[in-house]
Amino acid sequence: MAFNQEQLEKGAALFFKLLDEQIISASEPLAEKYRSDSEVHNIVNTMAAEAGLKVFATARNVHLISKARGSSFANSYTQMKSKYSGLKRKRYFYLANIIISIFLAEVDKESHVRIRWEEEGVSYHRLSDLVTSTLESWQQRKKEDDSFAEQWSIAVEEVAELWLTEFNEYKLSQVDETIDVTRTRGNRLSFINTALKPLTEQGLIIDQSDELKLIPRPQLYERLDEIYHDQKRYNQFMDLIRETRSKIEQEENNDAQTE
Amino acid sequence: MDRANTGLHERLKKTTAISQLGQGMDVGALNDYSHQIALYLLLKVFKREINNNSQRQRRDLISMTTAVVKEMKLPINLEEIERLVDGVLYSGDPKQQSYFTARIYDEKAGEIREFKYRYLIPDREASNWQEGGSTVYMLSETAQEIIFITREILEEFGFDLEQFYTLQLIKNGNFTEAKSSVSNLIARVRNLIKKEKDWREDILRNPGLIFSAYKERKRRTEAEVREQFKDEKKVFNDIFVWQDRLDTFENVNRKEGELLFEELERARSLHDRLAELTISNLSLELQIRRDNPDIFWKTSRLSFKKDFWQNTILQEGLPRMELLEEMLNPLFSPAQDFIFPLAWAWSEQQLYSYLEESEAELEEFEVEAAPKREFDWELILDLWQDVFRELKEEGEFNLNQLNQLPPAEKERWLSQEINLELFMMFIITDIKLRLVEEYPGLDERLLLFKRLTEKNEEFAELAGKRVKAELNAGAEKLNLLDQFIISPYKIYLEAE
Repeated sequence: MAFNQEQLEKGAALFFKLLDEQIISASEPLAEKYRSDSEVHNIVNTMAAEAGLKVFATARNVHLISKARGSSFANSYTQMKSKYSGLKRKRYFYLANIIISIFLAEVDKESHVRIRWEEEGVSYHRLSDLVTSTLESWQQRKKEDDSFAEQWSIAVEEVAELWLTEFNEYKLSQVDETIDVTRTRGNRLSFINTALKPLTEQGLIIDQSDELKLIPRPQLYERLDEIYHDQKRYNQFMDLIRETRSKIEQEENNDAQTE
Repeated sequence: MDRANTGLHERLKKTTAISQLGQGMDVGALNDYSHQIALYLLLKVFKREINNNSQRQRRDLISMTTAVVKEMKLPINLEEIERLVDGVLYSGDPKQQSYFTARIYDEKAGEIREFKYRYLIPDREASNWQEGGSTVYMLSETAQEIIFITREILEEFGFDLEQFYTLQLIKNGNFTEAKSSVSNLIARVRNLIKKEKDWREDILRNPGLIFSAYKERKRRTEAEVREQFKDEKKVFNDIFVWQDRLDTFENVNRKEGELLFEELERARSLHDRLAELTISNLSLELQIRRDNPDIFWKTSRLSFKKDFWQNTILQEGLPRMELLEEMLNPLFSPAQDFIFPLAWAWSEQQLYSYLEESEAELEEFEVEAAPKREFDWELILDLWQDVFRELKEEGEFNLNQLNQLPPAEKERWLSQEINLELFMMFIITDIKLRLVEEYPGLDERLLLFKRLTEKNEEFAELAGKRVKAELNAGAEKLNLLDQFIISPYKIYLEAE
C-alpha cells in the first residue's frame, strides 16, 4: 500500500480528531476525505485497528468505537467496570450490563421497519419493571430446568438478590418529595441512572431524569445498526457462545477426572 | 366493486381513538366530563402548535386543563386534573408511559391486529432536551385526525382543495370562516413539513428505506413536485389579489380582512419552506443512492432486539455473564482522557493541515500543496543504514534500541522530522521494498530505500521483502529525550 505525505497527514488528523470527539459529522472536510479517498480511509482504519478500535461511517456521522476485545483504550464503560471490580462489587457491573441490554432491546428496531415509537424513549419505571420480570423469568427457567445455563444462573442469583431484595424501588428527594434518581443510591431507579451513564456520557441517549424518561438519539441507532444488525458480528458472537460453552464443559470434565 | 368493508381498518382506528379519548381513568367528580375536557385540551394544544407557542409541557397541559374545568364551572381538584392529563398522555399507569392499544379488525389481512397510538407525542424540536428542557408535547397524527374529522373535513381533502376553499370564502367576503380555513391550511403545511423532516431523518439513518418505502411514499419526480408547488403558489397569488380589493367589499369587517391576510402570509412562507425541503430531500435521495450503491443488497434483517436479546440471551442465558461485556463493549468510544502514544508526533501536523485548509479558502491559487522541506539526506541515510543493516542481518529492529544511544545521537534522530514520520509509516502499514524511480509523492519509505541502496549496494538484496510492524507489549517505550515517545514497536521482515 503506497500513499503520500498528504494522505498520511489527513488520515492522522482525522484519527486524532475522532479520538478527541468520538463522533464527527459527515459534512466535515476530513470526514468527506474519509469517504472519498480510499488511502485516507485505509490509513484511518489501520491506525484504529492497531489500537483495538474501529471506525465506521454513516450517511451522517463518522464514529470511532471500541472492539469487543483487545482494545488498549479505556472507555466510559470499562471505567464503570473497574469501579465495580472486586468480587463483591462485581454483581453491580453484571446488573448494569443487564440493564443496558434490556434498554437496547427495548429501543432497537428492525432496519427496514419505519416506526418511530421506539425513539420516544422508555420510562424509568417501565425499564425497572422489565428488569424485574427478566430476572424472575431466568430464575423460573432454572427452577423448571435444572440444566439451564449453570454459571449464568449463579450470577443471575447474585444479581437478583441485589435488585429484588436489597434495592428499594426508588427514593424521594429531600427537597421536594419527587423521585430523585441522581442524588440517591441503593435503589432501582437510581441504579438505572448509573448503569446507563456510559450511554449518556457518550451522547447516545438523553437521560431526562426529571421526567424519568430515557430517550435514544440517532447516534445510538447508527451504532446499533452497525454493530448488531450485522450477520458477521452475530455469527462471531454465536461462535463465542459455543466456544465458551465447550470450554466450560471441558473444564468440568477435567475436574471430574482429577477428583 | 366497492365492498362494505373497504377502509374499515382505517375507519376503526379513528373511531377507536375518538371513543377512547379521556376514558378509562378515575377522575372523581370529572368522570362524566373527562372526554369533553380531553378533547378541549387537544384543541388548545393544537392552537398553540399552530401559533408556534411551545408552552406545551406537562405543566402547561395541567394549567390548560384547569382553565377548561374552570370555564365549564366544574369543581377544581388539582389531583384529578393531573390524573386526567396523564390519562391523555398515557394509557394505564402513567409511570409506565405506555401507548394506547386496541385490538381492531383488519379487513385486508383478515385478522384482528394491534393498533398502538398516542394522542400527544413529544415535539422533539421544541423540547430542547439537550439543554435539559422538559418535554414539549404536540398532537399525534391520530389526534390531528380527530380534530379534522370533527371539523367535517375528510382526509382526502388535500392541500389544494383547502386553498381553493379559502379562496371561495374570501371571494364571498366570509372572512371569519376563511380565517379558520387558513389555520387549517397552516396545520396541513406544518404537518407536511414535519413529514419531510422525518423522512430526511429516516433516510439518513437508514438509506435502505429509499427502496423499501418507495411504493408506500408514492414518490414523484422532481419535475412533478416542482409543478405542484408552482400550482399551489399560483393559487396563493390568486388569493392575494383579493388583498388589494378589500376596499371593494361592503359590510365586512376590514380589520378582520387584514388579519386574515397576515395569517395567509404566514401560510405562504411556510409553504415556500415546504417546497424547499421537499426538493432538497429529493436531491438527498439521489445523493445517497449514488454514494451507497451497496444499500441495494445490504438487507440484513438481524436486530439486537430479536436476535441477540430475545432469541438468545433472554431464552438461553449465556455460558458466562462476562460475555455480556464483550457484546456491549463495541458500543462505546474510547475515553477522551486517553493519550495515544503517537499523539505528540502528529499534533503538529494536524495543526498544519488545519492551517492549510483555512488558507486554501482565502488564497486558492497561492498555497502550495505541501511545504517545502529541506532534508539533510546525508544525515538521514547515516542514521537509517544502521536500522536497515539490523533488519538485513537480524530480520527485525526494535525501536527501543534507540534508547541506548548517547544523547547527541538522539539529537541527530530528532533533528530530522522525517525520521519520526518514517517510523509512523512503518508502524501504520506494511510495505514491500522495491527499487523504483523517484517521483514526487513517492512513498517516503521507498525513497529512503532507494537512496540507501544507492549509497550501499548491499541493501539491494532486501528488495522484494515486506516490512511489517508489531507491538512488543510490555517492553520499554522508545523515548528520545522526552521529545518523542512511542509504544515499543518492532519492525521486521515478513518471514517467507
